[in-house]
Amino acid sequence: MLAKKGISLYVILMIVMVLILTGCANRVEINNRSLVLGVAIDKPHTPEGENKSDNQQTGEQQKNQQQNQQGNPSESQGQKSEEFLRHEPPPADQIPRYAMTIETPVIKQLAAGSESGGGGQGGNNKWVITSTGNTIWDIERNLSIRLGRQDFFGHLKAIIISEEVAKEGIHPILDFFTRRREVQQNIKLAISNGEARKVLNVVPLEENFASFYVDSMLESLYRSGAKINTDMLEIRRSLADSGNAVLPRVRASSPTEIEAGGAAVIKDWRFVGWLSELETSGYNVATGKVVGGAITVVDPKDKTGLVTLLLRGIEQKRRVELSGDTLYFTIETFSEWDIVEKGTSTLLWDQKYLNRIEELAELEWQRRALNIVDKMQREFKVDIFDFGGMVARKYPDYWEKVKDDWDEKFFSEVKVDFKVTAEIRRTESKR
Amino acid sequence: MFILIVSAINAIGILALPRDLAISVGPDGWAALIGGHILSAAAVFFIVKLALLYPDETFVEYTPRILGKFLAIPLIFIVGVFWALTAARIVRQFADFIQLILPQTPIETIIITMLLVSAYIVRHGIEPIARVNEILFPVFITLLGLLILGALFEADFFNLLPLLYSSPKKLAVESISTSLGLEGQETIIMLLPFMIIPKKAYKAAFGALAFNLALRLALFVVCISLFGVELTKTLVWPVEELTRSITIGGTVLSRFDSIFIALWVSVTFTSIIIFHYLSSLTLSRLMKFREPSITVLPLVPVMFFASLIPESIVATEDITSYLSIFIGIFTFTVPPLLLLVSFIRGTYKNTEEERLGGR
Repeated sequence: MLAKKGISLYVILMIVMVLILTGCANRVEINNRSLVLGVAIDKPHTPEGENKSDNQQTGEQQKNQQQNQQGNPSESQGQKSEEFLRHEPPPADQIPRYAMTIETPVIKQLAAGSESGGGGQGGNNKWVITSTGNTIWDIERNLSIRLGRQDFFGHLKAIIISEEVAKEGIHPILDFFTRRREVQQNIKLAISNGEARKVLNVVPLEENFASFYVDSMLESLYRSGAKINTDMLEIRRSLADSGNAVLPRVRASSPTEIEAGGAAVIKDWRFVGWLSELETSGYNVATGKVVGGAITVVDPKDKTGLVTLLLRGIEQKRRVELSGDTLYFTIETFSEWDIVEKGTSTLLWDQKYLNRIEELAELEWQRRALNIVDKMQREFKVDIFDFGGMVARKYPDYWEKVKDDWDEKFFSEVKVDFKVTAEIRRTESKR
Repeated sequence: MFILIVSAINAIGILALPRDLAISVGPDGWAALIGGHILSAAAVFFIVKLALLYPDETFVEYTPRILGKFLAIPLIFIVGVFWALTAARIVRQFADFIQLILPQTPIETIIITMLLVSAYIVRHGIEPIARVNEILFPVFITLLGLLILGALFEADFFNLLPLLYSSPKKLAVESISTSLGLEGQETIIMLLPFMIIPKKAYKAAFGALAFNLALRLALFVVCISLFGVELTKTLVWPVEELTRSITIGGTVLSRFDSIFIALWVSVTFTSIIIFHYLSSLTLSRLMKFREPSITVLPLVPVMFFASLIPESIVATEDITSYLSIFIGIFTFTVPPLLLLVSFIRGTYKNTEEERLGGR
C-alpha cells in the first residue's frame, strides 16, 4: 500500500515537473531567425527631396498608417530603391522619422555557395531591406510585414547612421541598441557621408557582407591612424559623460567599395561636422589613441627624398594645471618608431642623423595635434579630448562653475601644450 | 557559516549596487561601501554578542526570556514574516532579472519554480542548505573573479577621480543605506546554535563582512572605471551590463552574459533558501512545532503572492528599499536593546546555571 502510494506520488511529481520545468517558452530556432548584420539609419525619402519629420504625431498613431511604406524588398542596388520610392510616396502629413535598412544574410545562398566550392553564382547572398517608422522599435516591428523570419540583432556588426539623421541627434537611435539585450556592446558605430543605406548596399569583393567589411576596416587601426576605432561601449561612455564623441566616417565610394577614413564630430548628441583623414590622425595623436600608421618626413640631409617612419609604440601622459582662471593642459607623448622606407642613398647609420629625423617626426605630430585642437577650439567648439573630464577630476570645484558653459566658452580658452618625444629604434634590414 | 552569511548577503541587489552608489555619491562609492560595512560590523558585533550569551538557543527562545512573552511574540512574528518577505522580494527581483533573457516566460512560472525548489531543500533543514552553499560558493567566486579580471583589462581608473569630493553628509547617508542593504548579517541570530563551535561566530561573521566588502568594492571599482559615473547611473544592472560588455583577449572570449546569468541563478537561489529557512524556522519555533519543516510549504504561497505585489520593476525597487530599512532598523536596534535588557535583568545567567545544573 505504501509502495503504491509512493509510485503514484512519483508520477504526479513527474507530471508536475514536466509542466513547470520546461523552459524557453519563447524560443526561436536559429533557422527561423533572420540575422541582422548591419543596420543603416536614414531619413525617409519624399518626392520633394525634403525630409521634414513630423514630430507632432506619436508613434502609436502612425504605426497603423505606415502599412504602405516604401523600400525595396529584394534588391541590393540603391538606385532601384529610389525609383521604387517615387511610385509610392507617403502622404505628406505622415512622413515617418527614420528609415532603417538592415542587411541580413541569405543562408540558402551561402550554403549553396559553400557546397559548390566557390562563390554562389547568381542570386544575392544578402538581403538589404528598408522600412520606416518613427522609432527604431516601430521600424523593427514594421519590418515584420515583409520579413518572414524574426530578426535577431545578436550578430550585429555595425550601425551606420546617416549624416542627416545624426544632425537631429543620435540618442533615439542608440537607445534601441543599448536597451535591446542581444546587441553586443563591441559593435561599430559610424556616421555615413551621404546615404547610410548605400553603404549596406555595397557588394564587397573580399567579404560576403558590407557590415563585415566596415567592421574589419574600422578594426584595423594599427594600419592607419586616419580612422576611428571605437565601439558602442566607448561611445556610450563618452556621450554619457560629456555628450560629445568622435565617430568614424564611412562612405560608399563605389558599388563594391566603402571608405572608412575620417571622422564625424558629435556635440551634445548631435552631428556637427566632419574631420578629414589628416585631422582624424591628429585627433588620434592628441588623444594617444593612435596605435599604428606611418608618417613621412623630408630627408634632412639631401632635402628632397622622403623618409617613412612606422609607429611601433606610444605612451601618453596628460596633465592639467589651473593657475588663476586659465587652464594649462600639458600632453606629453612618447613614441617609438622604425624607419621603414627611405628614398635617398645616404646611410642611416648615424645617431645624429636619426635625431634630426626624430625632430621632424615630432614636429609633424605636434602640428597635426595642435591643428585639430585649434579647429575644435575655434571652429566647432567641442571638447572631444576629454579635457573637461580631466578638469572635473582634478579641480571638481572649478568644474562645477564651468561645466555648463564648458564647450561653448571655457574650452576655447584653455591653453594646450603638446610635447612629443620621438625615438627611432630600428631601421629594418638596411643601413 | 562564513559562506552562509556571504551567500545570504549577496543576492540580486549586488547587480544594481554600483548604480545606486554612482547616483548618490558618484565616484566616492567605495568610501560609502567601506563606511557601510563598518556600520554593519558594529551591528554584527552586538548580534554575535547577544547570540553567544545563549549559545544553545535561537532568537525565538531567548527573546521571550529577555522581554517577556507579551512583547517578544509579536516581535518574533514580525521578524519571521519579514524574512519571508525578504525571500519574496529576492525572488521577485530575480524574476525581473531573468525576464531579461526570457521576456515571454510568465513571471509566475519563474517565481513558483524557484520557490518550489527552495522549499524542497529547506524542508531538509540546515545541513543541505550549508552543503549547497559550500558547493556553489567556489564556482561563484571563480567566475566572478574571472569577470572582474577581464574587466580590469579595459578599465580606466581615472574615472574614480576626484577622490572624496562628495559631501560627508551624503557619504554618511549612503553608508547607512549601504549598511541597511546588507541584509543577511542577522542570519547569525538564528543560526548560531547550529554552529559546531559557536565561539567561531565572530570570526565567521566579520570574515563574511570583509569578504563581502572586497567583492563589492571590486565590482564597484570595475563598473565605474569601465563605464564612467554618468553611464553607470543609467544602467539598471551595471554588473550585468559588465558581462555583456567585456571581452577577454580581443574577441577570443566574449558574451559572458549567459554564463553569468546561469551563475546568478545559483547565487540568488542560495539567498532565497537561507531566508526561506530562517523564516520557516522562526515561525515554527514560535509555534513550538517539533519539526521546522512544517511551516516551509505554507510559506510558499505567502511568498508567491507577496512577490507578485509590486506592479513594476520600479515598484519592486521601492519596496526593496522599505524592506531594507525595516530590516536594517531591526538589525541595528533590537540586538543591542536585547543585550542591554538581558544584562540588566541578568537573564543569561539563568541559562548558564540551567546548563551547568543539567550536566
